[in-house]
Amino acid sequence: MAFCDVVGHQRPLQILGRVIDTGRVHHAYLFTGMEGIGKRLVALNMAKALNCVDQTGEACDHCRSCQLMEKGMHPDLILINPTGESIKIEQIRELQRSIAFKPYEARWRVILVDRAEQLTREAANALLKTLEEPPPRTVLILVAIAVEGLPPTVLSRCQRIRFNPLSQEEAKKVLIDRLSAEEISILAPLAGGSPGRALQMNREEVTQVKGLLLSALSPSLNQRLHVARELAHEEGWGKLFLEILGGWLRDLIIYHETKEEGRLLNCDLLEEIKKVAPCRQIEGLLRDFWSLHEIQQGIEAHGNLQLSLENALLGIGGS
Amino acid sequence: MGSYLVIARKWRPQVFEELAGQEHVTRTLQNAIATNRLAHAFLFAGPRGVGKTSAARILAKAVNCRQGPIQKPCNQCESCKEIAEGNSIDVLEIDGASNTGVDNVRELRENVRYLPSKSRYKIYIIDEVHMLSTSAFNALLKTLEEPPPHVLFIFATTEPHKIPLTILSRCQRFDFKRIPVTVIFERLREITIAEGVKIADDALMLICREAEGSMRDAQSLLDQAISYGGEEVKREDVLTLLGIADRKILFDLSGAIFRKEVKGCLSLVDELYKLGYDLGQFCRDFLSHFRNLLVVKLEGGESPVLNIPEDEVKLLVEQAAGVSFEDLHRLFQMLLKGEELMARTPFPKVILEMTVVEMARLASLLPMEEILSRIEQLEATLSRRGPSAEGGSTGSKQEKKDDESRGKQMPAEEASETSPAPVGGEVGEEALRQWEEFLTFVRGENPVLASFLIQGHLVRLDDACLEIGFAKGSFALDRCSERDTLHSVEEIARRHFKQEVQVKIQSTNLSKEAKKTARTSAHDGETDLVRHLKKEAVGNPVIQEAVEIFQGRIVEVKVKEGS
Repeated sequence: MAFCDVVGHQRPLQILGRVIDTGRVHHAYLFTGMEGIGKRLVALNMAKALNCVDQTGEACDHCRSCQLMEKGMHPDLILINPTGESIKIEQIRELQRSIAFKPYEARWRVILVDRAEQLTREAANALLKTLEEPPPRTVLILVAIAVEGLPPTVLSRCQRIRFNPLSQEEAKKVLIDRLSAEEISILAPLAGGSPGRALQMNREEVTQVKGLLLSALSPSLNQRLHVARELAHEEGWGKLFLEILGGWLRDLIIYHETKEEGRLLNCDLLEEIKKVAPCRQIEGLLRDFWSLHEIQQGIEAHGNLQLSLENALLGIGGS
Repeated sequence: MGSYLVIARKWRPQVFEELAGQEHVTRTLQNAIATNRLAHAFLFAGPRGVGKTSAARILAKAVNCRQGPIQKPCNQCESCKEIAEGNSIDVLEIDGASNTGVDNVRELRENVRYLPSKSRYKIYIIDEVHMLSTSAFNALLKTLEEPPPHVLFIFATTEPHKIPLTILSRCQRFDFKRIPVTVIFERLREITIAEGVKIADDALMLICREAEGSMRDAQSLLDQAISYGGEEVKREDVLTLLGIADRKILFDLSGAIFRKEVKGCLSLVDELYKLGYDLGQFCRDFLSHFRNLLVVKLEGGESPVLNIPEDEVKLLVEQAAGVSFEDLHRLFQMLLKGEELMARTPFPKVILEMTVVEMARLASLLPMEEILSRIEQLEATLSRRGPSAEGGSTGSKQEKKDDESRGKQMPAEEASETSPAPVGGEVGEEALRQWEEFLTFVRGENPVLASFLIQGHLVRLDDACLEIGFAKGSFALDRCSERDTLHSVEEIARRHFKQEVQVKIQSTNLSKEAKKTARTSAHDGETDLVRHLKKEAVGNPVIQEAVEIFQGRIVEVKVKEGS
């Protein structure tokens, strides 16, 4: 696996490629972008390319360094992952102790901090001095979902490289080896350009939850409350449902306004969308869409799941 | 591959003069050195990347320099070189965030006692000092208050509010400011010339703006731009790097929104997404674009708070001309809501899409003044047609019908007594306005009296005469007909109109049936006042905010009893 095998992310790869070519390697990088789009993969390839014997700016994949890195056994590739909920200050202290020595064999010792947004406040602060002036021949790569989770003092010490969600085509290209075409067509639109998310989702679940969404469109309040109860009982269904509902409302709004099928995400629900969209007012749809996010926030703040779902379901399908 | 030193480290200031944008700090420190009045503990506070650690190191060099203490460290002697390389044994740079515990401080206290090995001072630089634990801070107090004469403490932090007051009071505190854009620009220009890198002024300016007053941010970005663009950095490279959309697209999108082209808006969002722009960043840029539109709308293109190129100002003025302030403001708030959500959602594109759809579908609001004047007009026409305007609709036919029905409603014997109520109908608008003002005035002077007066309606108002009608048999009529009351009304009227006014009280004849309308009639009197109050209420910022919060509208304005 090398840079050229990574799907999408032309821009970050271009930037990193030039960094390696010119040798102007910054000592700290921060990769940001949504989960499951390949940030970590790019970071690993960066480590490989920096240390590859061939020095072509790409990983050759068969030299000793590349192979050790691929297996995760390279002594100068240090991985830091959250232990439990967060990355703790002890981990950073241990890192600082270990990098006080020179690298064993690598040209560039690479420290990869995955899920950097989970650094505790203490750990992030403890990392600051290292981030600013690490020992020679050391590169830190922080990988995080968004810059918002990191203190500005950390951000200011890193070169930020932003990763965008993949396009539908790119996501499909990644998924094609691992999922059937049918699964891809159902899951890819929901994943919002993240193959990782698509892989985590369960096709069966998605189909069932979508079925529930359709049955919740019935005017009977009883039916809707029933759906809410069912969703609340299955682990993870509630959140999934709200995401699907968001996509559904988005499609309704888009179709209502443009009448163009090409813009829709849920191609499998085309018939229903065509049926429902004309019966609704745009104001009501938009109101539903925004209130959905309030409900999602409520659930994230540990609100009662079933009540929140009932609230969402009673709200939808109004005028 | 040699070890490459990034710009921020390579160009770290080595003397006070190089410390850009912090003259208030450097001058004080230099003078303190010159006059030999150096404190023993300093606290450097300020946002990230403005020069706190650099200042600490320069200060350490200045006091320990072979030729020193000197205002400008020589950077040649052994001491200066060692400090610059970070391996001086007498200058200890401690990472406060990693060594947070009380034990670390105890160890420090042990070592403080020993004299410096070869320099004048033993200097402790504690960076990120806000992370020390409370007990660590407390363990430091005694040492900090009265350290041995050979010790100097320099603390640096981005969060001074987290430091205990007892520590603060023992330090000389220096607040570092964000560095102005122009100062950053000059410094970066210096660097690019020295590094032999070509970069256009506008591209460099983009970097400086993005840095938000932090020199290190600016230098990191410059580094990134150079490694991306090579020896010659173009504006496009910087835009790409920062994920900033071309400003043209901002104008395109706002234009599409103003023209209410939903499809056009969605296509633009698609384009942004496909080109790989950071949608969150775009949303923030779009917000400031709307802010600029609002500024232009309020103050015109010459406003000093606009800091954008001239050709853009022209475009802004053109765009803003077609939209009302109210609409712009509401659009801004919708965008703000979307922007907040985007930071949290896994589907930023969907949020942006829905935000622009909502913005494009925004129904135009009339300006508040226009609504008010329309309401007033409406009310004026209503009151001119008299209190019994049950139908409320216009047209002479209707009115005729009204008269007929009134005739029917009134039993014959009462109808003959006096002229029916709707005398107010003959009162001009100007008089009504004056009556309204008079009522407000009375409310201020004598609230009790006002509560009676508002039950009446204006019959006549001219230079010397004020005639007020009350429903026959009403308590208000009895009360106002009393001599004393009449006098006080006259007295207040004299003060209000600034001339002698004769006040007459009339009873208006109303049947039982018509009493219902008398309520309307009273209402009419009321509306004179109420209209005034409504205007006041609607204009009140608190009310406006309430309406905004509840997304409500004003249905009715009630006059509080006894007020």
